Amino acid sequence: MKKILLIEDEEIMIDLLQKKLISEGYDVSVARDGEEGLKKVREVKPDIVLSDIIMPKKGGFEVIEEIKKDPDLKNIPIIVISNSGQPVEIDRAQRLGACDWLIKTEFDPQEVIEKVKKQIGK
Amino acid sequence: MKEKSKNYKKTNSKNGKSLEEYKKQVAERLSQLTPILQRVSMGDFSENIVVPEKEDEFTELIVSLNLMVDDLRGFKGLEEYKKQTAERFSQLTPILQKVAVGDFSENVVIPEKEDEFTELLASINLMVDDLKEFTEMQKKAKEEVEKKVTERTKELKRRTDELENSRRALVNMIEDVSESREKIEEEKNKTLAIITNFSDGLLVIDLQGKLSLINPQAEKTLEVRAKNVEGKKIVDLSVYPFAKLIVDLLGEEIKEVFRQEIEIKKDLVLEATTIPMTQSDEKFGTLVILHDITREKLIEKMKTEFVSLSAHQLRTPLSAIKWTLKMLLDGDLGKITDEQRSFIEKTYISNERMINLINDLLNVTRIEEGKYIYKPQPTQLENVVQFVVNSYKDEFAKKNLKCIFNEPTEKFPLVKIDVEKIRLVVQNFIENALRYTPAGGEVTISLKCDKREVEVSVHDTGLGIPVDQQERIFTKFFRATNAMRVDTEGSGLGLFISKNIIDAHNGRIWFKSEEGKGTTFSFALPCVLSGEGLV
Repeated sequence: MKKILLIEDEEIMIDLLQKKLISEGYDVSVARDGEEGLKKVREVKPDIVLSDIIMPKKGGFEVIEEIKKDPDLKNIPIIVISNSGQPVEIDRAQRLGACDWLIKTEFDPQEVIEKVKKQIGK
Repeated sequence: MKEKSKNYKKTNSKNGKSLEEYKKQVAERLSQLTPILQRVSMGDFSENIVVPEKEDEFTELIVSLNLMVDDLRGFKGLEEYKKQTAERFSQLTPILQKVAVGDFSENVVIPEKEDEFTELLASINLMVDDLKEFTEMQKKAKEEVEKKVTERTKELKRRTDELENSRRALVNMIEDVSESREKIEEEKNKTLAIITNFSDGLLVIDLQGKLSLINPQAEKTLEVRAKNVEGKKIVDLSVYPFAKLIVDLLGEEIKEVFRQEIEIKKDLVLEATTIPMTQSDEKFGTLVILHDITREKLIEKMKTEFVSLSAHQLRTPLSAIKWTLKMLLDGDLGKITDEQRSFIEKTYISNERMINLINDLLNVTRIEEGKYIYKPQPTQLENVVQFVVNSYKDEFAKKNLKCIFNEPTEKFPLVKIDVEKIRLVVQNFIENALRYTPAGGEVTISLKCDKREVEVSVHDTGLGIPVDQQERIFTKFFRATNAMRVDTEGSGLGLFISKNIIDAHNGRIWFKSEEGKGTTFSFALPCVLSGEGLV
């Protein structure tokens, strides 16, 4: 079973995505801020990370940066799921090593699943 | 007379009349004399006594009386003569008075009848004439002298004036020269003061590539001293680390740059611009302006952060609603009734509208920031259009509209575009056509290319835009009255954003519309090979 780490601080989004991902047969771990996310990524060693950007304690950019700096973790694909989405931000995330950026208002859970499938398969 | 009275006596005695008769005769004769004597006594000597032809004893007396009267008359004539003379003299008085005051205009009138005065009067007239002539001569001489004096005075004045004018002109010239010098000096000082106190760093480079001037601000920014660098070749300034950045930017040939950002160090970002300095069309050097944009950069960063944050804050609840509704509709959260589905679908559409409105507002914010177009890439425009048209297929079907896409038969030249933004323009065009074309209508999307630019048109058979509102169609928040009646939801931002996007791509945007018949919106973008495209 493919493991997904979801780093997100908004409860409703966690609930919705978790439900959707589980229904698709993924093993979902959840972290509610950047720091917890970095801790969990080391513990869980997920197949993919879905991360928000604006979060307490540590932001999404730092999370990406640290994961990509860590030789053990750097190959884990990261998809950003954010409410924001300015070109500069998207660029920055891509430079840091994120593989995709989804703006929440432009995508729905089904489309997120499709992106995940594309990265790690079922 | 003695002889007459003797004769009278003789006569009387000869006739032998009586004494009484004689006495009577004498009284009578004497009484005859009375009136005359009375008149004489009153000074009237006009009449003499008539002497009877017949001589008698009275004849002598009467003759004597007449002689006496004659004498008296003569005496009275003298008086009259005196009076007359006085009168004549008094007549002369006004003329002589005039003469006395130098008025010789009048002569004395000489009576035609010559008398003892005639000579005198003639003499007076001669004298008056002489005086008149003399006075006139004198006057003429005086006038001549005066005229000469006036002329000479005039001449003198003219010369003096000339001299004064020359002097004044000279003084003015001297003043002008010194004023000009002062002005030049002042201008120079002013210019120097401006250069010295200018908040931007300024460098002046001559045609030999030598630094001829550096102002204190530039000294401070680049951490150099004017006395060490002025007169040196620009390339030799590379020894100073901060100046080196400028040297690298300008190169040896002093390239033209416009608003080139240079990060000198942390918290110091400059914007360099070069301006060729010319005098009567001849270049004599280059002015380099180093404008400190650190603050602007900071504000820009803050603004980006603000926009990002507000976008996040506004979108967060909307995305939660969107996702929840979508999962409800997809059946992820359990089965729903048809009625529930219908309500949820409508709510979902409303939510989408809200999301679009916020996106539009964010886009406008970014347009106003002037940094809206992001990293344009050479792109096949027909692919972008195709993509958007495909995404609206369902919508067209739902509204019972015929969508015709005139696909180009050949590959077009590339256009350099920010794909996301151009996609937004095509979306706006198609959405407007969808929204304002009644069911059964037609929407035609066409592309064409004339080597210089690629043109995209969206034609509909919809409401059209009223003529009186056409010129405002691209303004922010504007919505046509007939469009508002059909749909109250539009933000009035779509075409404003579209125009800004096309303008930023150096493209053209326009429309043709007839109310009640339809509208064609078009834009054209320059091809990469033929035009400059985006810088």
